Amino acid sequence: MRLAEGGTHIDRSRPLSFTFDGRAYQGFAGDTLASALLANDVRVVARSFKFHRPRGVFGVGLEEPSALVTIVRGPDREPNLRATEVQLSDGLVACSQNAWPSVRFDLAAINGWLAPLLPAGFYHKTFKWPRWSWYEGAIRRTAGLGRIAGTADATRESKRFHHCDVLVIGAGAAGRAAAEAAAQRGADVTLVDSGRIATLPNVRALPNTTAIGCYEDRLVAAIERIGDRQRLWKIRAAEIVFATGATERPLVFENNDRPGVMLASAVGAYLERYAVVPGRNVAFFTNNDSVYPIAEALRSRDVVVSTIVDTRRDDAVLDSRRVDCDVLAVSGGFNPNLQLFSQAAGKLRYDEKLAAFIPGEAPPGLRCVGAAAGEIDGGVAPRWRSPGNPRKQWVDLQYDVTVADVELAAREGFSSVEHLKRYTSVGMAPDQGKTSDVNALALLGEITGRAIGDVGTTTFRPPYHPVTIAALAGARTGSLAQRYRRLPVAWHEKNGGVMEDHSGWLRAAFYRRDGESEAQAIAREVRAARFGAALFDSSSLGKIEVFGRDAAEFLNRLYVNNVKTLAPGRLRYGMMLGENGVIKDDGVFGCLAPDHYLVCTSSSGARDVAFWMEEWRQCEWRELDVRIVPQTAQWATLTVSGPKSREIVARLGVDIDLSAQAFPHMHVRSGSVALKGDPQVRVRRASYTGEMSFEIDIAAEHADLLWSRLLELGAAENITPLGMEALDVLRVEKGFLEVGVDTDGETTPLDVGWGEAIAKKPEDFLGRRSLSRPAQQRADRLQLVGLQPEDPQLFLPVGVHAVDDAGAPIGHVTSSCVSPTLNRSVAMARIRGGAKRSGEVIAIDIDGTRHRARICDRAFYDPQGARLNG
Amino acid sequence: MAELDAKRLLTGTVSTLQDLVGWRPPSEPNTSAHTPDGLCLWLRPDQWLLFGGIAVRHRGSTAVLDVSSRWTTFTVALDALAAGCSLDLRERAFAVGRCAQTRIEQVPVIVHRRSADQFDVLVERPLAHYFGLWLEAVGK
Repeated sequence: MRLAEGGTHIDRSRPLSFTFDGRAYQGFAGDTLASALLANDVRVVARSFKFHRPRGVFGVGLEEPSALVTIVRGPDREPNLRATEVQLSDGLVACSQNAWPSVRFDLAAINGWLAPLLPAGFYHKTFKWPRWSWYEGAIRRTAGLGRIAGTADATRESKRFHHCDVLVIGAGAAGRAAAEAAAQRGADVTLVDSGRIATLPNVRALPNTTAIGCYEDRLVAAIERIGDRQRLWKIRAAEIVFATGATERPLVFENNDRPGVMLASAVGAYLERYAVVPGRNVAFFTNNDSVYPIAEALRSRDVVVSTIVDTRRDDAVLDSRRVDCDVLAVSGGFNPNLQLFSQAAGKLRYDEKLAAFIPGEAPPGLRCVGAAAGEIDGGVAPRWRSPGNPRKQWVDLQYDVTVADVELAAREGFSSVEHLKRYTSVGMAPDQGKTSDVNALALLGEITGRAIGDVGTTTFRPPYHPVTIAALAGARTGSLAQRYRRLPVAWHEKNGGVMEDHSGWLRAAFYRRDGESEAQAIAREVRAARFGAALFDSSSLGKIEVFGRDAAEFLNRLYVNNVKTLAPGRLRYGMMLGENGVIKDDGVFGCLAPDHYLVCTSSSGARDVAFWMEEWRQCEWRELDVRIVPQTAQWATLTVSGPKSREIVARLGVDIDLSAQAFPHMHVRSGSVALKGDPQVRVRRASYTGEMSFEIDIAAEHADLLWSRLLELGAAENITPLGMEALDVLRVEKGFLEVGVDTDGETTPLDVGWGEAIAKKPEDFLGRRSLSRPAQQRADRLQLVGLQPEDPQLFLPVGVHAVDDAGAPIGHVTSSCVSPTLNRSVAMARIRGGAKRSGEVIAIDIDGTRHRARICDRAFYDPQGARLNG
Repeated sequence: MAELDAKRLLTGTVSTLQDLVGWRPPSEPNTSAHTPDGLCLWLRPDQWLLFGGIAVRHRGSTAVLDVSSRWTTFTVALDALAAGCSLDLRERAFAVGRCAQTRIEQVPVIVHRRSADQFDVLVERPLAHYFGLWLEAVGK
């Protein structure tokens, strides 16, 4: 009920309407949902997690274990909010959860009658036979708390980074004093509190902001509530003051979870802040002095306080005395709120006088003040449990853990507090054991005959207070959830390009035309490259420029190839190995000048290869005069490929002699192109399709123009945009390997047929010594080969196994296509000892059916490479 | 107009670059300096970014490269920047003229403080689209 006067937090001139479970109620501005429900004498607001026991409001703040509700906003629902932290607003719609058909009559309360059959560990013991998955569906439906809407949230939460000299967490008396003192000595002070904060001079106040985690180097994460929205703060402070206060412990006795049983401090706070008394007749049950001023305050407002049972005085009569009341306010002493301090590596120690853990040694820059530091009056005389049925005495209200569960755990040998937590789930609920901490430890200590200090506490971990995934995601939802790199040419997406993720880049898989299937589109693109001309955006190709007197020496140590023999203007296909001899990346590199080289990497390797090159330059080969500049983003790369490519590129007007004699395959030339501003181009004759190709590098800002120009100029030859799928077909037809697809973390160049080429190189290179290990030379290693199924139209899915007569795997397919050019299925595979098995027919197992395929050379199409030279 | 956006990456040492371009790039880490050829940002001990269009050239391992297309420049206000940048942006820690390389969300960036409330944020071109979307989202 609401008293006629008073209430520091409410504004009686602003009445608000709200509904709870469909019934309309009135409250005032400044109320929380909990205070408004209590003002309206709503006693049962929730059902408990496991036994579906009726529950009322138990606390007043973040510690609330019982009064979990769902807030409904149109189609959105936010479950599992503590009624004590929901600010009342006009038209608020709240409902109970975890109850069916209603919170007053919940069928699942039968779990409570079955409680003797449902001890801690019940699930683990019972539902493991024959297998958990048989029961999982049914149990998952009944387990858990609340239900989310199941639709995407229309709005985005926000995030903010903040730096300050002093961060004070908690705006109680001690926190305010600390903030004021710091501000007076000139520090830049920020004060956060989960509730309201009265203004302080020169202090940045963040009200409605709950610190949820404290991390290394004094980083604090906090959630600010702004109406319905949330903002994640990441605050870095030179000094943190924990003024986090203390949380009252309940007493453990039979039926201590009934609606009407409340923390005494909460009863006091409801009276002072909201002029609300949760009943008409209040009794107290305490083991310390803190309740007496509260009882006095109630009496002064003409509320009946029927009795105060103080265990320090009345212990002997407890069993026999009957007390009439509709509110039982309990106090079992106070726990300093040291979760955040502990997360930041602050040490805790048990204090016998307070019967609680208080701050011990603090890392530099952290300190606790006020109640958090153990400044608590009270003369507490611990009393960890009461006589009566241990199954009816709650230790952890949120997860329904009783004294009987703790006893069982101890009996079964779970004497470590960490084991107790995992076995009984005490302290593991969303409230993180704010009201069960110490009570549970003390019980375990009592049962196992140890002091509480020796039992110790469990490790505190973030979040201190439940946080929604949406708040952590911030802006990164929807189109921002995944970060893709974009090609410099915008044409693809607007012209039928089906964009897909290829190593972090959005690239066209193929270009869709009306009336065409995906396979038809791919085949059309392949034919264009083989017989006409195709245009391909290969801008994601890694491009790293290497400068310096020692550039050739540097690269000669990185590549398995001989770099020193490469003349200016020439390109070479090469491989780089890790120190373990495994293929790291491959690609073309070129000599632009004796002190200037270009390294092209795979799209996915561009970043790693550049970092890796820097590591060798900066840490190992510091004597070499060389510098590395990754320029992938500067240069777009547009590739014209196919027998008609030269004539199209010639029409561009580049000041480079494109004739086969002047500019043969595997050469590189620089010049400029007749587009607006005469931009520079670098042209490579290198090919991933097996056809004559011109890879044109141009500054990315000109890429759109060059692309559309090439489409125009090649219109007569029907120049065709080529997607990733067609490119894959083209390279498989040629037997070109793709690192990471046809190779894995074990593949060496010896396994892909490069043994002879490497043997010719006189100098050492990275990974060379590893190649000489006996294991790398074994004849039964997985070696990359070509594979032709005997049924020419049988597609071999990537990943299917080759098997021997006994059915044991002897390798697997790595790349595969039904070649539109050859009109037959071809594949690459890694087969044990495959290099020496050419011509052999082996069995391929596809879903239990054996198919025959012949091992062959990988170059299925144009094995002599004549078409490259054109 | 294009010339205004010209950017160059300088690599080498302070003294070899002075020989090549005729002026000394700033040697104090994470600072910028006005040079005869434009504003120059320190990126790392052997790399600088010049807002200017000097000739591309190299001598041994000392080089001037065209990076005009590589980075897209966004002008971002302090409030929006603090929504994603973990650097201490208080003026005493990050004064006007300071620059640094960091990440905003998942995007590597170069941040340069142009004035008390205005920052240049340079994003590599392939990620500029994503960064633009993010900026729009946090501006709301």
